[in-house]
Amino acid sequence: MNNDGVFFNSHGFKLQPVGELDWIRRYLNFEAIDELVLLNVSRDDLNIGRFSEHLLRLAKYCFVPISAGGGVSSNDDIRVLLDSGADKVTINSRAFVEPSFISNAAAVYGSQCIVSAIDVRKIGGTYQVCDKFGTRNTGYEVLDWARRVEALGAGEIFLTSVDQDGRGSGYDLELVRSVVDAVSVPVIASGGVGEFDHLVDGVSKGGAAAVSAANIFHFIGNGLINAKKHIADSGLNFPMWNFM
Amino acid sequence: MDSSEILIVDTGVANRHSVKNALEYIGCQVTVSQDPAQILSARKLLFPGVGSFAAGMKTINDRGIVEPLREAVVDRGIPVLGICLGFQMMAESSEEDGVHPGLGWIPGRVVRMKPAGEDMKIPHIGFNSVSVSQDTPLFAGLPSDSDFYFLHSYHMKINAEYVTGRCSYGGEFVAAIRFKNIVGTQFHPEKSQGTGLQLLRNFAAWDPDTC
Repeated sequence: MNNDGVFFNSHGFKLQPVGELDWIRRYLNFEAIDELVLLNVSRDDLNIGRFSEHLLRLAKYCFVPISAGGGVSSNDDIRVLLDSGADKVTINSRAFVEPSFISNAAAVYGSQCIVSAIDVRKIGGTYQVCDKFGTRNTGYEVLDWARRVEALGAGEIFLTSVDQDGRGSGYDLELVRSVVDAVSVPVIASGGVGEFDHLVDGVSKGGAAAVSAANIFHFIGNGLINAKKHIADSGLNFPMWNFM
Repeated sequence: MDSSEILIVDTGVANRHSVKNALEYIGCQVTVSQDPAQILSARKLLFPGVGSFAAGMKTINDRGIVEPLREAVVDRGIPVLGICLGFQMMAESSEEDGVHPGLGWIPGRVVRMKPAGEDMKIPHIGFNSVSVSQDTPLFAGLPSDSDFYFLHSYHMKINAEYVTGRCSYGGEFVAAIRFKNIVGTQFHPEKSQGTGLQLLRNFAAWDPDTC
């Protein structure tokens, strides 16, 4: 979502608008989800205050934990998001410049409130952490960075494959598995889901603690509910909700 | 008597917005307040909480609302739902960061989680299944195993006769209780989707004198 409350599809981090909050509420049935991740994808003029106004409206109808982020660079940013209905915040680029931002935020708000968002591309045969909307190689290899953020106090890792993002051919399971095996905090898989089986694979093959998707839910009617049913049929132990 | 008017005790934590949103969504009239007069005239109370026991107790003591709350809950017997830290604060004591006295409205004490198993981290965070151990109004209409959202490092020890729901995390712990006009949940119904909303509906409709 951007500063103006517009939601997007993402393909390799290239964005395509799909609608505003009212559209989202009409077409996405939130009743099946377990958590919501709301990332500010505004580019040049990212404004956490304006973003938070839309977050507040969305939070009024969302009865699951919400993680919000995008441009979070200070404890003030964190406080604004938490006051607007977020339960957790994601920290990404700021941590490369100031790693102690994670440990400081975890000390103030609790590790369970701090999610480290890590965007990854395969470059030269290795998984490299990228910033600047997935365009710039930070030089960190993913496992080194994942272990680092865990040590700094991040409570969870939101792991996105930039290469797989929007392609609909599934998560990069090798990437997911390698990070899951390297850390002991929960890893949320992101990037690439095109069918419900990909969500199942994220857990059964990738070992992820949680699986996330966006695009697939924007255009399939009842996608969220059907995804949950498919996951339940696969035998995985996901929360089952009494529908509202 | 409109049983869907609920006063959320303002204990200064961010959590109160989520609970307010959930109660309003299900049609309750909600006030968030720390005013003793409003507490004394409330029909039904909700006691939320996130954070540490000692800080929570200090806040309500500093705000001078312990006496009005006791009068409303213990003397007048109005229905009250305590959630997470709010639930824990109703106990006699907690051992979080040293031993601290609680409100003493329910005969229990709060101790640290000690889950067995090397993968079991503290805090206990995430969705987990609650098995409902009694035919109890708070869980009416819900399956006997229902999922709810947990986020805590301490849990309640209390006599089994008051336990209405149990959960397992490296060992069994108390997930929900009923003691006279008081109900409490260790989990967050306002973060537990339709299941949690149904529980809140049940609380909104609850008259402790009839069931």
